[in-house]
Amino acid sequence: MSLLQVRDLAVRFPVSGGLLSRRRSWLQAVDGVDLDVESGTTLGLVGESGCGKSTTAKAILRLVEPARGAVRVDGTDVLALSGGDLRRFRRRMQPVLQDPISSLDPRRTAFQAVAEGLEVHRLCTPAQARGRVQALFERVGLAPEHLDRLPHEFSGGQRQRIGIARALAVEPALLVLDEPVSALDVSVQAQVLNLLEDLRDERGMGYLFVAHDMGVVRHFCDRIAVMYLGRIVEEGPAEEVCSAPSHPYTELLIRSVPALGSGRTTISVPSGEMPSPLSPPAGCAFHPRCPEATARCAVERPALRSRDAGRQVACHLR
Amino acid sequence: MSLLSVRDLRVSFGSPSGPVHAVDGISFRLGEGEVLGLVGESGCGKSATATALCGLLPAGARTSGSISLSGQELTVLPEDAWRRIRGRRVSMVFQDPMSSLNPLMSVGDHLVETLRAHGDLPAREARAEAVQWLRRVGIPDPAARMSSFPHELSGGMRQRVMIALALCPGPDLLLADEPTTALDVTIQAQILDLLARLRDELGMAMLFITHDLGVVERVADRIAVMYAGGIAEEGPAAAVLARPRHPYSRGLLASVPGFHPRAGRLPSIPGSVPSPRDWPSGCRFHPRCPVADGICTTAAPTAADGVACHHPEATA
Repeated sequence: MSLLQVRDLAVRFPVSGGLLSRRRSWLQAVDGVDLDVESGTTLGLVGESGCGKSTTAKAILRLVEPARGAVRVDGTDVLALSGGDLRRFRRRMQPVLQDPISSLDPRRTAFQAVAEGLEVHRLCTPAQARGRVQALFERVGLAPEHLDRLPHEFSGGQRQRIGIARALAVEPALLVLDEPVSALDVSVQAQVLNLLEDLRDERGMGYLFVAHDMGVVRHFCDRIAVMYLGRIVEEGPAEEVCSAPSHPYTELLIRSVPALGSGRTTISVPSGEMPSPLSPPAGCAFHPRCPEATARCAVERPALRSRDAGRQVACHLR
Repeated sequence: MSLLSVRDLRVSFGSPSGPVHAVDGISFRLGEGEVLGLVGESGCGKSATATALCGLLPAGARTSGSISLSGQELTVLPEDAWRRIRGRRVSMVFQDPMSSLNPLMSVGDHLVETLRAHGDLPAREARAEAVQWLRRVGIPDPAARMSSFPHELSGGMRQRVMIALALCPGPDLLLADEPTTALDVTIQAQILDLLARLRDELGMAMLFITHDLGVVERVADRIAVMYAGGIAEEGPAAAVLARPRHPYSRGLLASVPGFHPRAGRLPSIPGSVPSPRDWPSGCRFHPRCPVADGICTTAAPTAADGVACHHPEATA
């Protein structure tokens, strides 16, 4: 069985109709998402802002409560856990977030930030903590003299290394990385991606890698799942999805990326933007922007179907 | 003669620990209708350069060197003279349109105000022209959109409004500072498309500032790569991207993921981008450079043939 298995996950948020209105409506942020991540591999979850990729990541980590669905990590039903059981289980699945400065307490040293997990999960005695953290620092490319510095004394790349050390400290099986390199400069981004790749291979962890940058995802991930308006529209091996996308939305996404080496070109992209999840279109959510949409697409929502070579697509036409 | 000629421009900001030299002696030229892409990572001085070019540096900033627009020296201009230059001759589009638009003014009022400030137009004609501009930048149902407020528009639509505002006075030079960075990739492609089309129609020159090498390839005729307050390399876009000669440009291009199909480890540049508070000695790239030797640690290289490096890659 997969390390991470997500079935029919749905998350919705209440939206009030206004100050004096009693009417409540729902924003369906994630609607029936299935995902699988194997140990030692990376699944990229991509899409544009508002597509529900970060909410999916948060629901898997139980940082928001799903409305329905099943999440299993290493065979454990994560949604059935509560209280102390859930706290203890958090060791197995750790987040790495985009902006390490806002996820680190500005008054705690780098050592304290990383040692916290060791204390909470009683993984070593307080006397052993310093040695454990120092070894982790060395592994992620930080020096021993960095241990007692405060977050603001580090560069963006170094802060992300602290964030990674903090996640690794409790020896997780699954890392959920939400845009972990988006805030970094290109030259530093490459260092952090290489570090993450090495750590995954050494420790056999599975990664769920949430990102919007198709270049990063293509390089870093084994498989890719593309989200649009709360649903997966395409899933498959990274290189194949990028070089021969099946869903018209994936095609648009990849064509829109100004990939280096394509020369001075203007590409004509269809006008239109992702609709609001407050009023999703009927039928296929992409049909108002789809150049190939037919009458059927406007009324009937396509299901995610398996196709040849381990690929899945949710489209009536492909 | 070039439209814009920048010579030995330096910009420094005061700080409690002494002056911070954000831009430290850059020179470049921009011809009429030409698009120069200014690329670099955070803190390299690209935005400070743009801010100096439109006379919007904060009061505490010090500039030296020369900025000449069609022969007119801009660095010595008082603020009231700048007001006649900005908009009419030099215009700007920034990353975040929300912070450049007045939240209490409708889209139409923004455009009408700008059109009337720069041309002697009666209100009715200005409104008609404003609708034309909204149509031109691809805003659907432009007449109805005149009464929309900025918060009612998506990020992409707001950036279209900013582009209309920047171009309606008919500037010779558009400074675009990361204009698509905050946008989703499909919307970014639409905006790049729009800018290219408007450049062809209106013929203005563009200084396009970005950290994204893929974006710069799509828009630029020439590219200047900035590092640590200086220009490391400058030349025709296709040549710089295909055969970068400065070790920094080479490293930067190689570290862009997804350029080549997945092939093992991503090449990276060791170390991190230096801070303007603490530039390294000699060539500022030397602590991270794979080919640096003794001279690089002590002497700053001067630009020759578009490359500021003691050991540039030979031209093919």
